[in-house]
Amino acid sequence: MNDERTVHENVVDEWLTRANGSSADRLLDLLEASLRLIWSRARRTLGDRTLGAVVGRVLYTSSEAYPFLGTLRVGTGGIRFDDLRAEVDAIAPTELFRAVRFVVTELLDVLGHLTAGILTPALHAELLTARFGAKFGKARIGSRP
Amino acid sequence: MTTPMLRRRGQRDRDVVGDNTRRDSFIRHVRTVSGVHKAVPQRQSCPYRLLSNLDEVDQILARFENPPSTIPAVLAAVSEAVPLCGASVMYRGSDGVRCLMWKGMGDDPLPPGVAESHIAAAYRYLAGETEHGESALRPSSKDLTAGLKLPGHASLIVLPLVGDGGRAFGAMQLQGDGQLDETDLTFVKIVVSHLAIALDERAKREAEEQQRQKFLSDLTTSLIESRSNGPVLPLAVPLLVPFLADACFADEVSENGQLRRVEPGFAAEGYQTLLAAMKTESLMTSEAQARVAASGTPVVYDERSSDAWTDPFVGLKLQEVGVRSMMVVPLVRRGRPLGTITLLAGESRRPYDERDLAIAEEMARRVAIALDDEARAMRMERAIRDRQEILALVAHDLRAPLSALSIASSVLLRRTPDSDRRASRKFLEIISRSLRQMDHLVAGLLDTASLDSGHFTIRKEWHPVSSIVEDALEMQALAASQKALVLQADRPDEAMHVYCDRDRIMQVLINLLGNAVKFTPSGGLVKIVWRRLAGELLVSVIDTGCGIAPAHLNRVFERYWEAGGRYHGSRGTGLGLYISRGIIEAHGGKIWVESDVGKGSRFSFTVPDGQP
Repeated sequence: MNDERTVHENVVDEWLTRANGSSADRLLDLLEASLRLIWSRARRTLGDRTLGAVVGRVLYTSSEAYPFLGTLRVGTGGIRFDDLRAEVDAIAPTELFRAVRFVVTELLDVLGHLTAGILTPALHAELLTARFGAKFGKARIGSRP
Repeated sequence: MTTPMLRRRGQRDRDVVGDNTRRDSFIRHVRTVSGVHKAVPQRQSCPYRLLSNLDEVDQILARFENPPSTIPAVLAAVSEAVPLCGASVMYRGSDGVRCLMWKGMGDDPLPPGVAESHIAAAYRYLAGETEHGESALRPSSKDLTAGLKLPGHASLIVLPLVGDGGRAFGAMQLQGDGQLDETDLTFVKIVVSHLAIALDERAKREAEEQQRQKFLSDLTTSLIESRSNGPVLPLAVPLLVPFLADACFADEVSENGQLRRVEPGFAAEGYQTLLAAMKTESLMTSEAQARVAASGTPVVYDERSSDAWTDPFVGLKLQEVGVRSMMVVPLVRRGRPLGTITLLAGESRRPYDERDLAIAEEMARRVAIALDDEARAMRMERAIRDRQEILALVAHDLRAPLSALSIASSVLLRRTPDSDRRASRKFLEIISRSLRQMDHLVAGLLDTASLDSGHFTIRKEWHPVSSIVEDALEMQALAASQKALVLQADRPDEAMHVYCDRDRIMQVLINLLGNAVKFTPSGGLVKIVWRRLAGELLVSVIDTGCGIAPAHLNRVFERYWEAGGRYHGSRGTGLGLYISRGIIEAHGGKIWVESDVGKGSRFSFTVPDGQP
């Protein structure tokens, strides 16, 4: 495993610890919120089309390890969770936890490699400075204090 | 703001603007927070400068000629703003996967060969295929990073080339000479996006062109095949749907110069209402088609061509049944109008434009050639048929007076007193011989007419083969003895019977034996052999005559072909072997010849022996 991936994993672990997700619903909320944050920040530079193509590939490759991630759909404004949310009860929380950790790390790793690490600090900051409440809604996710 | 100074190629702009200062400060902050801080020199770009470079890139892309010349020009323009020491592009074009490498100023941080393998891995990951265009193994993000170590001063940016529908069809890799920042990344991303759009549009144009060429090629093949399948226009019209039209029909110029609608009109699935409307009286109006046929100039109707399109009798009615655009192209050959083809575009298709018109005109040109060929072939067939009918008529009408003449000359010869017979005999014999020749010629012409018209009939019964052969030999015995030829029959051990038309098979044998006798010099041998072979009767007539030149072997069974006219003064009708072939084929058999010049010939035929 390369050093940069380890750094991404450390950041993701820290974020997961702070977010304190344990149930499947909450983990899914966490995943949706995190991907929305990453998307929102990265699209400023990469735009929807380029970002959509990259995220699509990340989800595609991640679904090999976690097939239920294959139900996530990339649209023009981000990632759609409708199908995955409908199936979430059938997914063990431990498996979902591993999937969340994997796919967020994978996305940070891929974006980092494609952009020569230029976006990495901003994306890490976006993740670590977000405030997550008990319930997640768009209004309650802040990227920075 | 500081006015940017002219720079050397590859040198970075050092202008500082307030926004960039705040931005860089923030980047340093988040790098510290994330713990992946890198020793990044503080560099600022001037967005206005980058916009100028972007404008230059767009101008280059607007003149897009071909990827090998345009992409390096784009990269050179990019490197004016963002220092690049190399770049590579791999993408899927209309003709497969292509890879282009570009070398900029400065030392490339990648070892030789690494850039190629890395862009291939990136392409595989982002576009989902191997560099050879084969179906991919499932790509992994490890493809992007495996074994790649960059020196500290270098940056490697890889971005997908994204086409319509968000589909990535390639990847572009840029080796920055020094650390790049987010402004550089934004600039590079915009350039890559613009390049992707240009490449995608080019690939689409090339794919469209390939489709057009394939359409024209398939059309030509079908038109050639149509020569044996029926009239051209009813076959050609369906071929235009759906590639060129949702519905179409054709009009042809009839004998009186008026346009006549060629049925059936043809419509794609889902356009049956339109097809029905096309057959209504109001839409059968051919005014537009008549104008196109008369002028030889195509027309395109849509909402932009106001007059005809708002015509209440045609244009508005077409729109009512879902036609969005109509194109009428003339069929012209050798300056002569042959008709028109009308193409209709429904709601799901964009209105016709000049590209559609170009392909429609080329289609019409090919259809017109096929129509002209068809008309010429029909005229030729009609001429041949007329000639055959006249020949048959003349032959038939000659037969009765010839018979009368023949009988009269025989009677005259018999009744002539002996005293006068010696003097008259010579002339009476000339008359009789000439009458026999004429009878033979007339019989041949009548058989030929029957074969050509398909009305040749045979009446088959069981007959012993030896009986037919012996009768045929007897007919040629006198002629053979006059030339001192040996006439020989090699009989098989078993007695054979064959289910055939006795008179017609004997006609074939007499013809083959007669030719053999005619073309075999004095003292030669003419032999007939027969045997059973795989359910067929095989008969061969062999001679030791002059033989037939190889160049003539495949022509001897043609009508009116005659090789022996100049041999020994003999002359025939040129129909004997043609009729023989017709007789044998009517029996379900085949006939052929083998020959060595100077050594002789072997004519053979088979007839199914009729055994169960």
